[in-house]
Amino acid sequence: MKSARHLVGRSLTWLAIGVVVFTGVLATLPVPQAAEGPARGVPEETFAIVDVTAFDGEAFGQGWDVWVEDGRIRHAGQKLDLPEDLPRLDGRGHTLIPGLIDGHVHSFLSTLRDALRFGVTTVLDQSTDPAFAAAQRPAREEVARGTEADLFSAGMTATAPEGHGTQYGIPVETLTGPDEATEWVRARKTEGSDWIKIIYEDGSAFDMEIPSLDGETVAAVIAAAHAEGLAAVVHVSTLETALEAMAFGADGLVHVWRDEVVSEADARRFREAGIFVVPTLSVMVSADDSALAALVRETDETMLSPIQRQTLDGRFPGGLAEGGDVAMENVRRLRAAGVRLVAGTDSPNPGTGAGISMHGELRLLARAGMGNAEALAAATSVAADAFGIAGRGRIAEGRLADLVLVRGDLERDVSRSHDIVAIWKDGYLVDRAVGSAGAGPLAEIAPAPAETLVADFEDGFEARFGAWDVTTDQLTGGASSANAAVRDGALVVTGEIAPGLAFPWAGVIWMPGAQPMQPVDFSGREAIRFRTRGDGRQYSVMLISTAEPAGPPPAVTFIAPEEWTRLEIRLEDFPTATPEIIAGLAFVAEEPVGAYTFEVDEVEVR
Amino acid sequence: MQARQAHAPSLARLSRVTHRYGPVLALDGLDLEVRSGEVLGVLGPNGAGKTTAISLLLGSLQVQEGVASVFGLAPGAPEVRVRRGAMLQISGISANLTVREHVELFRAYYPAPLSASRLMAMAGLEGLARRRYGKLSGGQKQRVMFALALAGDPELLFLDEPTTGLDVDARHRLWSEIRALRESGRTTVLTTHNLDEADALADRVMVIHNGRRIAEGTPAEIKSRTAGRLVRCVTRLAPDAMASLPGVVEARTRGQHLEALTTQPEVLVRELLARDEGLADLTVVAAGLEEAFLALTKDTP
Amino acid sequence: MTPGRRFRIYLLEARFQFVEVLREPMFAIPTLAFPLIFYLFFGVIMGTRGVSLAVPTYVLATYGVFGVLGPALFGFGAGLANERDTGVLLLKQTTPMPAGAYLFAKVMAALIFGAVVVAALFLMAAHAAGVALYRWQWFALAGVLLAGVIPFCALGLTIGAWARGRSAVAVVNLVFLPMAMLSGLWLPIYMFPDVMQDIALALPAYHHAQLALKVIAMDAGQPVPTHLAVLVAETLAFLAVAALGFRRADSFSMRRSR
Repeated sequence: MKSARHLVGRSLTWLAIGVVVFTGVLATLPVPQAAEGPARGVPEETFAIVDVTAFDGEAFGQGWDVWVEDGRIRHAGQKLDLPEDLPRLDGRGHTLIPGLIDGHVHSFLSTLRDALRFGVTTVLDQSTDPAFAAAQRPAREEVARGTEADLFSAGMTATAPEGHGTQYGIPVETLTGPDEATEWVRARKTEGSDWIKIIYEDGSAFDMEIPSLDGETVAAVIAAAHAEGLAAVVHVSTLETALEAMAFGADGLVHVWRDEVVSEADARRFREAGIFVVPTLSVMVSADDSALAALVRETDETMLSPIQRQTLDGRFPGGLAEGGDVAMENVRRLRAAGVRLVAGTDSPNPGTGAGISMHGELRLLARAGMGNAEALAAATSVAADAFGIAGRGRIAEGRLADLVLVRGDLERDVSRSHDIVAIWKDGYLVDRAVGSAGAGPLAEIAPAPAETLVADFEDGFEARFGAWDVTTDQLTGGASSANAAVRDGALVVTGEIAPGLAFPWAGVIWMPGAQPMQPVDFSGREAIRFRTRGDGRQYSVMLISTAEPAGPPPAVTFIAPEEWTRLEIRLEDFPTATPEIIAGLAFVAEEPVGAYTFEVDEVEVR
Repeated sequence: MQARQAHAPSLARLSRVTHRYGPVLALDGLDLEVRSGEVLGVLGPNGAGKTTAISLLLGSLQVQEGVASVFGLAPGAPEVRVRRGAMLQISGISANLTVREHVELFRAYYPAPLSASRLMAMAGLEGLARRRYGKLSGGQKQRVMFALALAGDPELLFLDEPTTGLDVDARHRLWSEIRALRESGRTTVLTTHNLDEADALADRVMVIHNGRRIAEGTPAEIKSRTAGRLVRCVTRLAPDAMASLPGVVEARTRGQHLEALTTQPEVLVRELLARDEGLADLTVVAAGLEEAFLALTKDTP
Repeated sequence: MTPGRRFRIYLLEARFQFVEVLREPMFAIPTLAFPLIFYLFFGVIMGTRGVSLAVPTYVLATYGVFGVLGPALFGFGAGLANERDTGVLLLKQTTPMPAGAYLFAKVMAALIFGAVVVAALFLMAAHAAGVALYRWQWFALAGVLLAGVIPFCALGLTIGAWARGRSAVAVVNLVFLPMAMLSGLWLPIYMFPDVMQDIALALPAYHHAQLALKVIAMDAGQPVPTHLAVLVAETLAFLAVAALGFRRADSFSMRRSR
């Protein structure tokens, strides 16, 4: 018969086994394939970013130093006299921009966190549950470490019973006539609305019938808002209602319209009225548009929260009606007439994602003709000024240190804005916990292995060290293609150069570091040697070295002849000061457009 | 032996205990004393208050009026629990545990438990250790309960209707275990309505009726307190007809025989013989405990 | 009582409580299998149709709550009512077993069953639905889910204290399934009409689920202290109501069995 002591021992043993198995299960469950936590060694709170290309909210400056102290910008400008012991970050090759301001969002669940993780430090919400807005309000007043974007909000929207804006499950106090306007606006002011938003939408642009406020009531609410010292913005979806709203004295329109192209005369009237427009091209142009699809493709999926993935995957029921081109043209014309445009995404509507869509909106604004600085201004200083959000959207003395450091030069190409290296909110580094995979230029420069042979393709696609991958101009919105395969012990690259970009390219890239695009120091090596053959056209070897300022990478061209030929390119032949620092070597086809085929073998750095 | 019990110290007592369940008076100023080393039989018809009295001594009911003590302490005190064992009328313990698991669990409750093999032997559970409780017969289940009551090697044992559901063999085996416990100096409180059981085991019997003690003494004393005689015969007379005869306290059939308890046996015999010429196998004996019990409870309103 | 003996009683009581429910197919199969079957259907089969991992991740948290809720309500609520009915509790109360050991055993059994469900759900989510969470999230989610045993056992205790025997199972089912649904354990709460959303705010499973969802950044955005405060307050309320129930039942149970 078993004794009680024996039973105790056995129970404890089983309990211990259970705890170990349970912990073991938890410890071996899969994790996202990305590094956790913020980039190591990035300073925060009090520090300086030196020698960086800075966009101050209106214009770019080269070689700027930005001195952050206690979460605010103490000084910013060229060649500052910085204290010796101030922690500093070398900003060469990067662009520093103010934290982005998304001029049209809806906030719930994790959207504020998601926004911040993509460099949007302030959101202007155009319809929020007032309780949610109230709960968020204290955070924007304090300088402290946070995980969410600051929220400014219209709160509840003015709409008709059963009208647009009532369908989201958030309680909405509706209006039925102009006589209710003053009381309604006062209630919003008491709740803490930062401005007033009015829905003027009968659904006609979508072939629907939706109850709407009448023009008289819209005008009355605008007047009441102004009487209470609040700005009033209007949701419209047709040119006709846009013109009416302008006539009623609205301060801004929070969508562009897709029903009709605005005439130059009307565009001028908008300018003269001083009204601003938040076009929200992100929801006007199909989410399957190449620019947006490419943005999502370029984003490491593990960076996206479940909500972002869900909303990005979503589509408006029945798809978007025609009219994306009209919306685009309207933005073009409004811009040409000088109307103030504010960047806003209307995320997280189907096909958009909080935060990430802001980078798509910048690309769309650029496509609609805005310059790089102009598009960034629409997403920073212009947004702050339009909605009267003080102290944000600029890199200037005394402003909050809401900053985004981006790889490369945005002055040349705003479409790189998503390639974020670091985000500071109130001077604190944002933990992009759903982490970024790229170690980037802030990673240590790794020493090169002793081996000189990079790859001989005898055993497949594997490199002796580092890794091969295909690379195409789809990264920047192009349409060229590349396929790589190993055949008979050599790397065969085929594809097509497609028109669309000024400098199309496609081919393969070898990245020597342990992590993608991690720079490796090849000091002491002299040349890159490889065998090649192909269709006889001209190709390039591009040397990507992140110690270099952004821009097209230094390249040396070569011809791939019909017969196998061994080529050697001396490192000093690359037009760069630091050819020994290599993050990637790309073997690519460029102009002219058309199909290409070449092979590469026995690649060495010697 | 009688003398020893009279002077034996009291292990547990209820003094002037009154207990109510809402408007129902369950105990009415009851006095009860358990003396060291005895087997005390608590008798009474259903609803007399036996279980209430036992529950008070087990600490599972709070005393409302009067005093209850065990070993001079409150009945629910931890020191009391380790020295006391109980077998209650409950509908069962977990069906999914084996006999041995139940025994081991209860042994763990006590500082100096009897060995598991000893308990299994005492309760006659040899060979059933690995059987799940739910798969046992009614009698086997009752024996498991007995083993659990003894798990802590108690000085004081409460057995509430312990032989309910047991066959004759099992019943006699349990009786001999109870006698052996008494020989080893343990004290037992036995609640039963089986009067043979009280007669066979109890040193002292206490009869409770309507929440009051109506008699107390050795089984012999209780029996002698009844003046009546039991008249037994084979007759065609119905028990009802019999009950209406003078002096008859109770009449019933037992097998072929009709039995009548009477305070006036001579009158009854004369009357019976007059009414039934075929009357046979007539005996007149002194009443047993059962009859005494009937007489006692019948007299009391 | 020496600490050693007290420890032994707690441990063995828990061991046998667990063994007992483990051997009860009417308990073990539904509590273990239901959350897994639901997850297989809604998380793995339906949830992985799109590219998005939002659904499998979301329902991992909510079915985890569901998985912890079941053993706590059935083991504690129905189990306690049954043991009061059969008299086991009465018998054990006459022994030196501390009342705490009995409650501890029930909580532990619910915890272990919950842990088995959580581990199985996690494995299914990870390997069949492709869910990947950070290491801290896996641990934090498991921790938050298992901590739910405390308020849910308190609720079970209340049911066990007021309902009797067989009716307790019915009462538990009446609490279990509607609460699971109204708390958004099956479908996200924001898909419900307002009235139902308001009801959810009163339910412990809702607040517990929100805490679990917080770990994976899919909650509705209410602050953590709010959820904690509601859970603590409701746990205390359950305990108080349970105490009342026991006091009332004391005399009742004796009257029945007298």
